[in-house]
Amino acid sequence: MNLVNNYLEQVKNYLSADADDDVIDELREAIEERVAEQQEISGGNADHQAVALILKDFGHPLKVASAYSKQQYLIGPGLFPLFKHALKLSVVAVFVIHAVLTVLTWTISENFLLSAKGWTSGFVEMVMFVVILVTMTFVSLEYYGEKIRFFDNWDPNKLGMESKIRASRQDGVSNVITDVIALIWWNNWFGLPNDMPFTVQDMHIQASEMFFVLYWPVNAILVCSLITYAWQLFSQFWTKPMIYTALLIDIAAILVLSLLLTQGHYVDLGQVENISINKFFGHINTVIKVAIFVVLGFVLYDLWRHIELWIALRKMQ
Amino acid sequence: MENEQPDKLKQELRRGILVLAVLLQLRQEHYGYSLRKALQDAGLDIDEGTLYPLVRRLEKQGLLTSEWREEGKRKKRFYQISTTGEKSLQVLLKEWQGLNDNINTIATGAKQ
Repeated sequence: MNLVNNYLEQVKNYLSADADDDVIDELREAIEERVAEQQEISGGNADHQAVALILKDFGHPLKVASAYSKQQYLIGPGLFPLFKHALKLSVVAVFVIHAVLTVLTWTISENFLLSAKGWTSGFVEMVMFVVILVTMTFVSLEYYGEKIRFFDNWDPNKLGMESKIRASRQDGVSNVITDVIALIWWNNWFGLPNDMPFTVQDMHIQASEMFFVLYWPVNAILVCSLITYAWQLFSQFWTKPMIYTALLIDIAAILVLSLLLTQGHYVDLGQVENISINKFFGHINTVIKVAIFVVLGFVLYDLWRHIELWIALRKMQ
Repeated sequence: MENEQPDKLKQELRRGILVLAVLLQLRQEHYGYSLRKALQDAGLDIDEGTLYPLVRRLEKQGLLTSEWREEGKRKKRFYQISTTGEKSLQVLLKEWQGLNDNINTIATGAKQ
């Protein structure tokens, strides 16, 4: 019976944690009955070969053990269509984000070839990470038996109605270019003198504190805007989620710009007694304020357009 | 290769009626081996790798009860249908009879 003990030991090793304790006892009973049956047929003791054939008939230990597992599929037929779709969307999103970030890096890179070499490995790494994340999410959903209502809660009347407004390619391109330039300038990637401080005639000149406070919020708004318009260029249509995102970006930008407008000054001079220099920097503050107003104007125009789009989409539905 | 397709389809068909067959058979008490033998004698050959996990699953679902008993110097796990199992069986039997009638209707219609 060494063969049988060996076999059952292998099955035990493969059994998952959620299998019952007495599975091995039950399998042993089943094998012993088969061996006894074989002995009745052959009229004597079942030899080694006969027992091996019985075990072969039972199946490989891994296959036998896995049949007792609560989870029979990594991702079952119920969830698989949604998993496949989520995976496709995620990979496309990674491609878009990675392409945009890479173009930005290439524009400031001293060694184009060296940075190009890193593109593929960087992209593959990001894709692998996203694939693992999406797969693990769906494996968990399968394990906990979660039912996704995606395939239950749909209305034939609303199919394909969400994306009937074609997006302007010109609009998308101009927005992407504007966002890229703004990102480059805001983050001083080209060494543009936006951050200061610098010294002129022993005067220590520095940007206002508020610029540093708003550094990351502005970056977040610009990156979200860039992704939204890059996706719009790719998909060619305005959808409800995209419009909501655009509206949120507009509102966030208005809040940030309004906050900036409340500032009394944008350039700190420190203690300066020279009246002409004070006047000069007073003009600079005025120019910056006007520039902020202009940007705010463009953002308000965008907001108005997006509200019009939202109303138009609602009318279609 | 040609025989593989019908065999696969036959397997799928049989897989669908296994639960019904097992519940019906377990109106009488059986242990694993005797259950398999009884099903085999009735013309339904089912391998241990399918049968044993199936009865475990049905027990976890409350459709069967089981207990370990010693019989002939061997410990055996005896299964029998539970009250809940009997109710589910009635539902399945009704469904099976309905499906049977439907298939016969379709087959008769197809012949004409």
